[in-house]
Amino acid sequence: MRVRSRLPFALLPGLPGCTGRQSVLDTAGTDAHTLLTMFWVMLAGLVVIWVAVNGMMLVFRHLSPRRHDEALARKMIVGGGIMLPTVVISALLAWGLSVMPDQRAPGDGLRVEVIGEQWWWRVHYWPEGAEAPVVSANEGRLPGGLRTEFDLHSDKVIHSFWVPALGGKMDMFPGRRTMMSLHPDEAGVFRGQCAEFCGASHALMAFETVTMPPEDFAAWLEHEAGPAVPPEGEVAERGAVVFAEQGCGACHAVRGTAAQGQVGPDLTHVGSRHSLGAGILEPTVENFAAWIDHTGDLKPEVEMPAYDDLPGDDLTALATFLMGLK
Amino acid sequence: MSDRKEEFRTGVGSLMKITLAPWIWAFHFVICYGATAVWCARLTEGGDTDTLQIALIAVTVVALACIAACGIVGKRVWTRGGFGEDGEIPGIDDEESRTRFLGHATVLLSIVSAIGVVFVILPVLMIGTCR
Repeated sequence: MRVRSRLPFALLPGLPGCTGRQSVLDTAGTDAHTLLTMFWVMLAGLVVIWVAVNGMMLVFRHLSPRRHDEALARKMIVGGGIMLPTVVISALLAWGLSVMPDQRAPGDGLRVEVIGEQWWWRVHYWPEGAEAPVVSANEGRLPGGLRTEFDLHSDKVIHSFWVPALGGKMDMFPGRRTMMSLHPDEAGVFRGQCAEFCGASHALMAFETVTMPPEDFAAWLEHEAGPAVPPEGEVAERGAVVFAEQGCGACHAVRGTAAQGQVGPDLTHVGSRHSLGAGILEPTVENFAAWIDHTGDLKPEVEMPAYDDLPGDDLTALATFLMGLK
Repeated sequence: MSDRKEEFRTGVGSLMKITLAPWIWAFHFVICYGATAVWCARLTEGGDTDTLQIALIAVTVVALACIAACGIVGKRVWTRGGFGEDGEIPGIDDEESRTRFLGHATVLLSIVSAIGVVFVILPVLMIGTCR
């Protein structure tokens, strides 16, 4: 009795998983709506079949356990065991296939190239007619009400690009390009996650996806394409010096400065992103400092070394500088 | 009696016959996937699939006709000599029943193969693009 009374409480922690910004049940895009409809239809069908099968078992085994007519039994086996599954699976297959082209429909102009790295994302925006991309990282921004194409590939291992609230997932392969498109219809911030095991920090390979009105997106993209803003204030200026002295620019690019490294994420506007370390930390000065101080503790086997020998003041200055890169 | 034995002879030939329909399914599968891959990678611009669809529908019609033929032959072997009064197949554990069993298996495998062939062609018909 005690166990039974506690059961609902034991299930409670699972409930928040049904909503929120990384849920297939809380959708904000056309493709996700379609997938959710399919899920509910299939779940309903599953419940009907489950009840029917178990109901028959109950009737024939317990309520009416006599010898039944063999012709009827054969009809039930052929009808329920062969015909019904064939028809149901065929219908689901046809429906699923009819939806698939929509999930890869051509975009309305913007193409976003995403390259999976261990364990972060290179994000290149190619507006219609662009000859060079707007380079960013670890965050996706999309204009709402428009379909955006995603051109996906990977550096070393297979990853999978997935923003559950906006649509289905698509694998990213080294040496091969895959394509999908998303059509968000609601402004918001949604969490994306790598959905294919890709090494020690696979679970920590996430990103925020920001959907915004098209005119806001255009303004944002124009700003994102520009060089970094100069550091403001003494501490941030000191941070820029530390950034240069420590050789951060060998791996990271900050456009408009001498830092042009291509190994790690582009940091030109890192302070304006919604997360730090590819979706694992809130972007605050403290978290920037914590990240630089012990990268490997926060993201196992990450390639960026921990700068744990930096004096506290320098670390704070560096974090302030990065946080200021809006 | 010896004629009757000959008529219901089992052997490698009959065993091979029951695999014919699945073989057609397999060939149809390879043709559809291979042709689609080559078409989309080399022969078309912009993902148009009209010609491919028509060609593969033709292949599918031929495959289904062959599978139907297998099924009809299997049905004849299965029902040769008629059923008993209650619809049951007479004989058990003898040459005749073994032959009938092979015919029965041929019919069932033909049905499965036909469903398989339809499932293979469905993506070609429903998706209609190389994208």
